Amino acid sequence: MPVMSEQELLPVREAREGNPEAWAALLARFRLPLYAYIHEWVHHEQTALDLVQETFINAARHVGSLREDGKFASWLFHIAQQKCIQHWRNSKRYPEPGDIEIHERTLVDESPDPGEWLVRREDEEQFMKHLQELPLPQRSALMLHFLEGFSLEEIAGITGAQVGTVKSRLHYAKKTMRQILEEKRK
Amino acid sequence: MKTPRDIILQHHCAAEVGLQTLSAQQLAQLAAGKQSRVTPKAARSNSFFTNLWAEVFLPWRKVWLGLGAAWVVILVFNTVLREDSSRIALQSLSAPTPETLQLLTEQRRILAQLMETTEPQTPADIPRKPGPRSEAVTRRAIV
Repeated sequence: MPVMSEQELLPVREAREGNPEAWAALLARFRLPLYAYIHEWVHHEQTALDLVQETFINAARHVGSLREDGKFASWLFHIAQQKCIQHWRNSKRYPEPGDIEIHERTLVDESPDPGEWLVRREDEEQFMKHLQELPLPQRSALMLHFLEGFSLEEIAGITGAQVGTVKSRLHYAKKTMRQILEEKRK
Repeated sequence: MKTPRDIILQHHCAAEVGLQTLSAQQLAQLAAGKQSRVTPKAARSNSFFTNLWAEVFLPWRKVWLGLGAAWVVILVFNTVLREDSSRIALQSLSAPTPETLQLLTEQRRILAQLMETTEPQTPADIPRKPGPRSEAVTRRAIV
């Protein structure tokens, strides 16, 4: 799992100076998680690849405006999120009714550490299947939580939602996933 | 046992080949210097307007267009109304109706009558107040 201090080790300063090796390191580190996140939005391999590329191009162009190097990961995912929304707008595709379901109630998230989650080998396929069945806002929050271990505030910053809403989404998403996996075990 | 992150990344590992190609392309662009290098200050000002455009206008472009259309309608309406009111004013000035003329004549007549009844009095008609004797001589001399 990514550790918090990793953000400080990322060669963001070098990347800002246009160092290709720094960019190679950043690309290697984030390309697959970004792809996985974007793919959950667009459900199309080539489109997801294109959006990953656009995200990195945008990041390379605007990395000079990034004030805190430690926020590079959340900033990158925010760009990716904007690209996905832009893609949706351009293709006139909008989320299905289930996807826009939003729980406004604020609940305490019992397990904020994504490392606490462990999935058995035989449940892996089911895990992915049920993850993809979650409404998009919940899935998006859960992906960000699982992939990069982002905090609630960071997820809120990436998705443009309130912290309370993110908390609620994560709670419901985890609850649903747990229930499904436990039912399967029985 | 695996973590959700491992499972998700493993699920998408088939895309790694495509992503490597993409990375190579991007790095080649960077190495060739095709990527525009922006100074932090320029990037900040550039990103300010880009962000302003992307966050203020683009998401609400229909609202902005609606507002623009509403303003155009208001301006057109305002211009038309102003033209109408000026035309009405001109019409009323150029052609006084017989009723207006009659009313005006009547008012003039009443005014003339009032003027006649309240004509100012001549100094001779004003009753004299008794004053000091010393001044009476001078007054008589002046009269």
